[in-house]
Amino acid sequence: MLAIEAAALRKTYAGLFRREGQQALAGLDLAVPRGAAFGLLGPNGAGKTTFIKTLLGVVRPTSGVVRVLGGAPDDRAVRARIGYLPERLHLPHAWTPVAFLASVARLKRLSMTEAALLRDLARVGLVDSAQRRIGGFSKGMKQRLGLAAALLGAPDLLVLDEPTDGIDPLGRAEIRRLLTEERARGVTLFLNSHLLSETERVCDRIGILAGGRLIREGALEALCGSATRFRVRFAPGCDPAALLPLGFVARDAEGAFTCDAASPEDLNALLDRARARGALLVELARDMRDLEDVLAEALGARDGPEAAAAGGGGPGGGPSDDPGGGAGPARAPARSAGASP
Amino acid sequence: MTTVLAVALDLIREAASRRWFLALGAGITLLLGVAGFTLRMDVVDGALAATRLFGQVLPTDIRSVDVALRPIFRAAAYVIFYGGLGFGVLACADFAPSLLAPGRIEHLLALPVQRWELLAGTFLGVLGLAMAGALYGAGGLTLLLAVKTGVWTLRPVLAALLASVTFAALYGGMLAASVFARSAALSAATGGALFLAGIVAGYRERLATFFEPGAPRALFRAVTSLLPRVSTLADTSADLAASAPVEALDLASQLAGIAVFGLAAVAFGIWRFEQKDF
Amino acid sequence: MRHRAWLLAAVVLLGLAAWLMARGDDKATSAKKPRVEFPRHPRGPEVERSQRRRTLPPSREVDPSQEQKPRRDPLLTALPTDKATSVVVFEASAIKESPAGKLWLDCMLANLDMDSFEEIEDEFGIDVLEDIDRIAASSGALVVASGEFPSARLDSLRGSRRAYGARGALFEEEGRSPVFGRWGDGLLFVGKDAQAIEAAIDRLEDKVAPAPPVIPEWASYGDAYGVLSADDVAELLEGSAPDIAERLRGAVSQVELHVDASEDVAIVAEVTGPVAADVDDLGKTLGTALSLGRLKAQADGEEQLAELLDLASVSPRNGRFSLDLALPLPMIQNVLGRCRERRKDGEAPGEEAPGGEGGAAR
Repeated sequence: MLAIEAAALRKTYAGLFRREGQQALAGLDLAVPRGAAFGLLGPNGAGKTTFIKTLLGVVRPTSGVVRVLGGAPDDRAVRARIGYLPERLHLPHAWTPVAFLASVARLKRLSMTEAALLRDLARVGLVDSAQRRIGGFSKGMKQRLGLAAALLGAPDLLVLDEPTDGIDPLGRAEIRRLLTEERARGVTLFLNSHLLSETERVCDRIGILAGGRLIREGALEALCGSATRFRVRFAPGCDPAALLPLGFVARDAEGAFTCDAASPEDLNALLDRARARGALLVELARDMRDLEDVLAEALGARDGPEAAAAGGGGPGGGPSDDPGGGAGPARAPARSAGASP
Repeated sequence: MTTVLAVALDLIREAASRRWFLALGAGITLLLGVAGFTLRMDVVDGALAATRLFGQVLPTDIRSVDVALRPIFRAAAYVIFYGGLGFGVLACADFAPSLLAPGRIEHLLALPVQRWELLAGTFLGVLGLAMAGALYGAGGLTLLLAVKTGVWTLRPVLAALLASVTFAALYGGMLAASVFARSAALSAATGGALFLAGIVAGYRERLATFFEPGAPRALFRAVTSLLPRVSTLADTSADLAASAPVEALDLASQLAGIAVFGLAAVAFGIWRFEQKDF
Repeated sequence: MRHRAWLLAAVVLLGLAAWLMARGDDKATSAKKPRVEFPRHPRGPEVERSQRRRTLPPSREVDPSQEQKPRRDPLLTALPTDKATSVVVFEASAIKESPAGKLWLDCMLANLDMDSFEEIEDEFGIDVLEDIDRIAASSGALVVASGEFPSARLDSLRGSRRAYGARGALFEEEGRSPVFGRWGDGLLFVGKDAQAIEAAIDRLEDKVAPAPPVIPEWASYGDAYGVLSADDVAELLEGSAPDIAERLRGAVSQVELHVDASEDVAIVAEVTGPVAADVDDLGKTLGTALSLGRLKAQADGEEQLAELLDLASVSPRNGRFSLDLALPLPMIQNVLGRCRERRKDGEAPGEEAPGGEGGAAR
C-alpha cells in the first residue's frame, strides 16, 4: 500500500510576461509506502515545497499523476486524513492557541472539546500558554502550535515542512519523540527539512530532489551506508602502525579504524589477523556516511556530465519493501533501492 | 455549507479579536452613550417641543415628534450608508489578503475545505460583520431616540440593512481583486473605485445627458449599467429611514441587482482562485 | 472544467445584476416625494420683480432726513394702511402657471358657470389671464387688481362714470354695490362703496398723510402674500379651536403670510406679538395642537389630513414664530380636480376641454 505516489509529475509556473514559465517539477516519480518516514532533501529551488503543495492540492500539476492515501489530493476525504505543517505557518495573531486549534478542528469537521484541545496542546508543550495570544509567541512556539494543528484528528499522513525550524534542541527532542509516537501509531511521515541530522534521526527513507527530479531515493542505510567498508574500534593499547599493513586505517586516537572487506569471510579473516597482532575488538559497525556527504555526492554526480543521465533514473528503483529499515549503524540495509547513481 | 459557515464565523471571531474592530464597537457605543446622556428631547402631546444638546437649546421646529425625527433619521441613514461603506472598504480591505497570506492559505487548502468554500465563507463573514456594525449603530440610534421620544420605528434599521447589501457588492469586487493580486491596498482601491463609480452609476440617467449623443453616451450607459447603483440605494435608504414613500418593487429590483452583482464578483474571484497555485 | 463553470456563473450573474439594476433606475427613489419649498425669504427674481414694480414716485411728505426717497409699489400703496386690516395679494401671473392655480381657475370657471374667461374679455375688455398681474383683497372691503388694462370697459358694469383725482375714475350706480374704479391703465378697484376706492386713489395721489403700507415692499414675495390681523385669524379659528383663537387674540398683533404654489402649495405664516413669552407659548400650543391633530387623523384613518399635518411645523424664534403648512399637490388635485371632472362631464360628447392641463386658461 502506498501513501504517496507520483508519476511523471511536472509543474511549470507560467510567467506573467515570459512565454516560458519556470519549471519546478520535471517529471518526478516517487512512491512512499504507508508507515514510512520519508525525508525529502535537496537544495533551494529543487522543487521540494512545490512537490509538497502538489501532494496537498495547493498546487495543481501541469502534467503527471499524484495520488495520496490512494486518492486524488483534491478529494476532501483524502485531505481530511492528512496533517500538514507548512514551512512558514501564518497564524492569526489575535487568537489564542485554543481558538486556533478549535478553528482547525471545525474545518476538519472534528468535534473536539476544549479539554481535548488542551491535551493536544500539552503534547506539544504549549498547555501553559493556552490562553495567551498567538501574537506574543516565539517562532518555536508557533511551530509547536502548527504541529499540534497538523496532529489534530489523528491523520494517516503527516506532511511536515521544516517542523523543527526555530525550535530549541530540547524541543527538537520532544518533537522527535512525538513523531516517533505517531509512527508507532502507523502514520506515514513525509518530512522536508534542511536539518540533515534531524532527517537522519527521524526518517528511514530519503529522497534527494534537484532540478525538479528525484536523483536519489531509498532506505537511509542504503544511501549512507557502504557494503564493503566497516568501522571497528579496538581496545586501548593497540598499535596503529602494526594494523595499517593489514588495511586498518586509523580514524582517531581512541582506537577507531576503518577497513574494507568484500565479504563476511574477508571481514572475519581481517579481524583474526588484527587480533593476532594484539588488537582487541570492542566495536564493529558498517561505516555510514554523513547525509551531507550523500547529498553533496548526489548533487555533484548530477551536476557532472556523465551523471546527467543517471540523475533522471534515480527514482526508477521503486519503493522498498522494508520501511522499517532502522537507522542504527550496526544493522545492515535490507535492500538498496535505486540508491546508486 | 457547514464549512462556509465555519469560515465565516472564524472571520468574525478573528475580527472581533482585533483591536480596531473592538475600538469601532467602543466608538459607536461611546457616541450613542454621549448622545444618550447629553441629548434631551421634550415631547409634549406627541410634539417635539424642545431639544437640548449639552444643555443648549437647539433651534428646532415644534412638530409631531415622529415627523421631527425624520430629518435625523435621514441624516443618520446617509451617515450609516456612506460612512459605513467608506469605513467598511478600509476596515475590511485586508481580510482577503490576510486569508491568502503565504503560510496560511496553504494550511487552509490542505484542510478538507473546498476552495470556493473559503472565498464564500470570507464573503459571508465580512457581510456578517458589516451587517452587525450597521445594525448596532442604527439599532442603537433607534433605541436611543425611542427611549427619548417614544417613537419606535424599525426604518433606520432597514436603511442600515440596505447599506449592508450595498457593501456586499463592493466587497465582492474587493474579494475578487484580492485573488488576482494579494494586496490590501489594491483591495481597498477596488472597493473605493466601485464606491465612487457606484455613486456615479446611481445618477447615470442624469449624467448621461452630459455626454455627446451617440457612441460616448452609449459607452457611458453600457459601462454604468454593470455597476452597482450605490447612490440610488443611499437615497432610498434615507427615504426609508425618513418614512418617505418608496416604490417597493423598484427597491426590490435594485436590491436584488446589487446582491447579484456581489455574487457575480465573488464567482469571478472563485474562478481565478480555483486555478491559482499558492 | 469546474473553474470555467464559475466564470460562466460570474458572467450570467453580472448580466442578471445589470438587468435587475436597470429596472430600478430612476424609480427606486420615490417619485411621490413631496417637493415642498417654503417661501421664507425673497428669492432673486422676486427682489427684481419688487424693484420693477416700484413705479410710483416717492411720497412728497416722506421723512426729509431720508436722502434717497424710495419709489413705491402702486398696488401696495393703494391698499388700506390700518394695522387692523387684513390684506392678501395674489400673484395672478404665477398662480395661473402653477398646477394648483390651474385647478383653482378650473373651479372658478365651474362656479361662475363659464366655459372660459373669454366671456369676461368680450364683456369687459379684460383678459383675465394676460392683463391681470396681481389681485389684492383686503378686509377693508377693497379689491385692487394691477396689470395692463387699456381696453377695460367698466362702464358696462356700472352706468355712471365719475372722475376722481388726477388719474382716477369711479363706476357706480345709485344703491348698487360694489363700486368699480380705475386708476390710470394699471389699477382696477372693486370696493364695497365709493369711499373705499376714493381713499385708495387719495393714497396713490398723496392726498392723505403718508403711512407705511400694510405690506412692506420687501415682504412682497411668494405667489401670494399678505398680512392677517389677529382678529381675522381668530375669527377663522373660532369654530374649530376656540381656545387657541382666544389666546391668539391676546398674544398676536399680526400674521404675515407667504405662499408658494410652484409645485405643492406651501404656506409660511410669521406670527408676531407684543409680548415675546406669550407668542412663544402660543407657538408651543399651536405646535402641540397640530401634532395632536395629526395623531388623531392617523388614528381616525384620515390619511389626507394626516399627510397635510405631516408637513406642518412651528419654528419659534425669539419672541415670534413661523408656522409652516403645506398642501401636497395630489391632495389639491383630489379636491379641486372634481371641478375639472364636472366641467368635462358637462361638455358635449366628443368635445374636449382645449389646452389639456391648462384647459381653463382659454
